[in-house]
Amino acid sequence: MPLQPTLGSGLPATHISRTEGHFLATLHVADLATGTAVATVTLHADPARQNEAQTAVPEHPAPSEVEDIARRQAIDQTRRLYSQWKENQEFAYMDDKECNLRQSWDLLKAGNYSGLLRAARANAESCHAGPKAEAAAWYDLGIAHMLLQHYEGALTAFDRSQKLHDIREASDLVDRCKRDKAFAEALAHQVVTWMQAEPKTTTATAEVETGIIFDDDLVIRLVQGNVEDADIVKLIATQPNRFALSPDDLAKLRDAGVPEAIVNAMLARKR
Amino acid sequence: MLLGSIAGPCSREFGDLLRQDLLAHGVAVVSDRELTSAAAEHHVQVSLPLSGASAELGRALGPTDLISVDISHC
Repeated sequence: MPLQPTLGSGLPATHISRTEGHFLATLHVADLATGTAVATVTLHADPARQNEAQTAVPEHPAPSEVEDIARRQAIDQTRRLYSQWKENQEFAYMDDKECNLRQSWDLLKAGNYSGLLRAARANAESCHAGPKAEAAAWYDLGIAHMLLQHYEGALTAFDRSQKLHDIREASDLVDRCKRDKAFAEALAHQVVTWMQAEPKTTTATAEVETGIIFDDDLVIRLVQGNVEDADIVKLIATQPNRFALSPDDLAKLRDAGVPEAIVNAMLARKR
Repeated sequence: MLLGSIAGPCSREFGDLLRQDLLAHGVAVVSDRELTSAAAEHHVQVSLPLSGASAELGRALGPTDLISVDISHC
């Protein structure tokens, strides 16, 4: 908050306008598999900014600017928790001179993904430097979407890129996007299903009840989300289901890449 | 990693910063956006933070942590 201007000691007099920010929060991390708390961290930041002048009372630093600094300092304090979640991501990024791609590369290096998305979109939409450069601009837009987990936007941009010029890396990234999208959706569906489930008492020897109602679509999502076949078979064997297993349904499962062992487990469960 | 409830003053601004920072550090995030979409499909209300989970399913889906933040002053 802005403080009343003060007169500094000594001569000449100095007017100081100071704005302080305060941020206090508690961050909790819980393991979904066990429900146990993994970490609890207090985030605390009290930044201050001031303007000084000798002839007149200066403007106060904008409160919004100091609040933003406080939030960013708090974010810095969360980073030591990240190491366990880090995943290596490797991809090629086009930094050609044409269509401002080199400038967006600087945003990517700085980790400013929102800025990258805005710049990459502007680059792609305004680029008229020939099919190869335009394909590179759309490819980079796909990367920007992917980094923000906007999978639909990424797939659209990669598709646009591929129609202009074949960039070898793009097809791999399309597959990766589809996989990540399927996994994110599968995980979200599982969590929603947990929330629907009634709490159930289990004994040490009983099967674990997850509350999942398995259907064909969920099986496909898990397969496309790269969940291990053995885990899917185990879940099919123990969880309630609403499988549709007509010849057409079975063909659809196989077309979607569901392995035969999983199809057989579904059939066995339905008998 | 599941980004759960960010509650309190300036929760939206802090949540956006946190999500962006996690992504910038290569952390895969499933946000309440996917959850909301899935919940709408199942005609249920999403209520975070979540409680109750299954070790079986946790193993099947891989390591999944839920992060939530209670902001008391901003």
